[in-house]
Amino acid sequence: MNGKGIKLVLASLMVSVGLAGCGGGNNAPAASTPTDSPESTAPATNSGGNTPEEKVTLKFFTALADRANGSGKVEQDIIDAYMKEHPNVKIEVEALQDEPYKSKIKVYASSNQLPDIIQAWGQPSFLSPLLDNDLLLELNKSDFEGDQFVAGSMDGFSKDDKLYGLPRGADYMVMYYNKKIFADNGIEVPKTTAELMDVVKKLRDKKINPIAMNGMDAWTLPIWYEFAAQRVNGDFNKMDEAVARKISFTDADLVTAAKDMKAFADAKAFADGWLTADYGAARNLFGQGQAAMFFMGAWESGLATDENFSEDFRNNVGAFAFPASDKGKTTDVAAWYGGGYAVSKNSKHPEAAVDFLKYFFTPENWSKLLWQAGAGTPAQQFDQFLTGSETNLQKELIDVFSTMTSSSGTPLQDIGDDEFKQKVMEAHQSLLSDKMSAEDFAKALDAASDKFAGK
Amino acid sequence: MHRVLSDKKAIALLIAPGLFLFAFMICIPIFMSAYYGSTDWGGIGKYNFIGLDNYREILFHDKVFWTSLGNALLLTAATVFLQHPFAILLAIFLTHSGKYEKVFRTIFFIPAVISIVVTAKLWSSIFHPNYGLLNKLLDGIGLEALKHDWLGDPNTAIWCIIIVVMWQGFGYALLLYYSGLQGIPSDLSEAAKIDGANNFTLYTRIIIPLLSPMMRVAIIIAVTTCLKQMETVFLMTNGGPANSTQFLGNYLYKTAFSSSLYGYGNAISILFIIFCLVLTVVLNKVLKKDIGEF
Repeated sequence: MNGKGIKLVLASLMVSVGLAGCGGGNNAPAASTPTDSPESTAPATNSGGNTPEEKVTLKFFTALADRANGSGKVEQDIIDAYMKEHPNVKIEVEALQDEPYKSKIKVYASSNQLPDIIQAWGQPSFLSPLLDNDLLLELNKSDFEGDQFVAGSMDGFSKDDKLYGLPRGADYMVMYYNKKIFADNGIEVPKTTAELMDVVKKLRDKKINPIAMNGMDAWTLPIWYEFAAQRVNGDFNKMDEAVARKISFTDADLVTAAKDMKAFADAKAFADGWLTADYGAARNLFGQGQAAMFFMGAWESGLATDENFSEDFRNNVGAFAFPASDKGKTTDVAAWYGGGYAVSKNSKHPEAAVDFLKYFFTPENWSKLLWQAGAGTPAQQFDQFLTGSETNLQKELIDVFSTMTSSSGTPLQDIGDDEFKQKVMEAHQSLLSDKMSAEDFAKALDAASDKFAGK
Repeated sequence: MHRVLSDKKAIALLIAPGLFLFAFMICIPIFMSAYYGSTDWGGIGKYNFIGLDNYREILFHDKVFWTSLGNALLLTAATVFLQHPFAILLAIFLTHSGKYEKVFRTIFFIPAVISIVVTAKLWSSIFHPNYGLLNKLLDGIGLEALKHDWLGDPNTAIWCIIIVVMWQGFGYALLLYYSGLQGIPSDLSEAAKIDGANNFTLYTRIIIPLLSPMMRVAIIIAVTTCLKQMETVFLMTNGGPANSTQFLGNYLYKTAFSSSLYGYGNAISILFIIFCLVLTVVLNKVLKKDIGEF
């Protein structure tokens, strides 16, 4: 062999070493090169069974922190079932509550270590940074065609007509209430916001906490504001226009809405200590029968089956739609398709991840199990899974859902980026703790929107 | 041995590992922080270099930063002027409590042993307006008018936090002073007694002045822990209501991770470091008073 040959061999060795180095790193999507090894394409032809399949480990990061109850349990059950059917696939679950989850996902993203499958919210505040930096894998719509996703539910997860995630549930805000407390005090379900105010006053007179709120997390407050604004002018879009800077938050209707909302806080509508209550604290207060109502999303339908609460409470928990006004009806609901899943573009096993999602969203799995566990409302059609043995709470929730005539879309705080979100939530806390007037509140929201629009 | 230690190369070799670790774990991250502090990085993706804009914004326009700093100073003052005198008193009491000394020592140290998460949640329950022990107690002794949403009211929330932090840190302060007292030779007090000093003069003129080296240590430790305060606030109020109980550590975490203003958060941390350094230097200068050998 002459010198040239040796150099060639050396060069080819170096190239292959270099390539192997790339393949091992996080940066190269393993399947995108045609010269890829046969093993890693094996999961794509799943259930082939004949060829020994490669061991695959998928990291799964979710914000359903409670793995033993409600939707977290359903999610875990499906994961366990999948691993049983696919012995070569191991799914490592990491679960955190919403807010810590959102912080940690940023750390993962900035250090380029995004887990293979992540929970995602189809809202700009969450999705935009990930999409802008090209971190999510584009999904193939046709893969999920048979899964009966409700029309429009994928919109939040799409950008430029490309799909980047799948919605897990339909989220809509309702008022949960304790029927026993209502009955014991001779209170009827309020039909209008004025009646709701009367209920609040009556409950306060009897020294009962009216509405449990998670004021420390604060993300329910802007949703209340969405309702308040819609009830003033009969239109959910005005707020979106204000964020888009077509109108100002000092618009008369929006200021009136802020005042209406503040009137509830001034009448002590929110449970004592609501400003320092996080999600768990507010939920417990209601579950322990210490508050008559709880302003929360429909995903809490598991309240009727949560063994941590007394049977008395479980039998008496109900839900009604946010009360109407002369402009807005009870069928105008703050609703959106929020939580779901996305796949990391840097995943070493994208096919396996997608395959799992396909399995997960098969109607027989997620939508059926979720509904029948009474743990939420899927974003897929689930009529065929109605059993007739639903809890009363589920029936009342489905009533609200099926009679909905207009919906808010993405809630106010999630339209912008994270900075916008924090500013909006802090403005609400200030307004409702009487540290800010409705006019200053409008200015604060204007400033936040200006800053967001200027970026 | 002496020859080895006076050899400069040997010294350099011996301190190299420590220095190396210090440089990599502390100095370089601080420089990186300073660099990121002058960018508009959001935590993910591209960023632009924006010079000193972040620092200017924080120093001249960011009210929350100043509230946080004010709260940290308030906490420090409360610790030094309330917790420490009390700790000294109890330390003196301990040395005189004879056979109960060990029991009391253990009891007083318990809060410092329990995890902060537990104590923070414990105290938030105590302060809870509905089922909290404090309001129930007020109810029980007929002082219903004083019942209050302790953590929900910006005016009382900061004091609740201060009380909890002081309560938690009390054990360490006590332990420091207690061991300081143990280190003072007993012949000094015997001599003073022979000269006719009563207990009061004995303590105010002799023992407490002799404690001052220990005070210096205790105060510096207290000041740095107060400035760094994060866990209790994060767990009890997360800076709320409306940032009235915000502390620098928590504020910088919130800005960097909840608001995704990573560059801005880094800038806060740099200002924070500068502030702590200045304060430590000042404290060292002020407290540097030699009391001589004993």
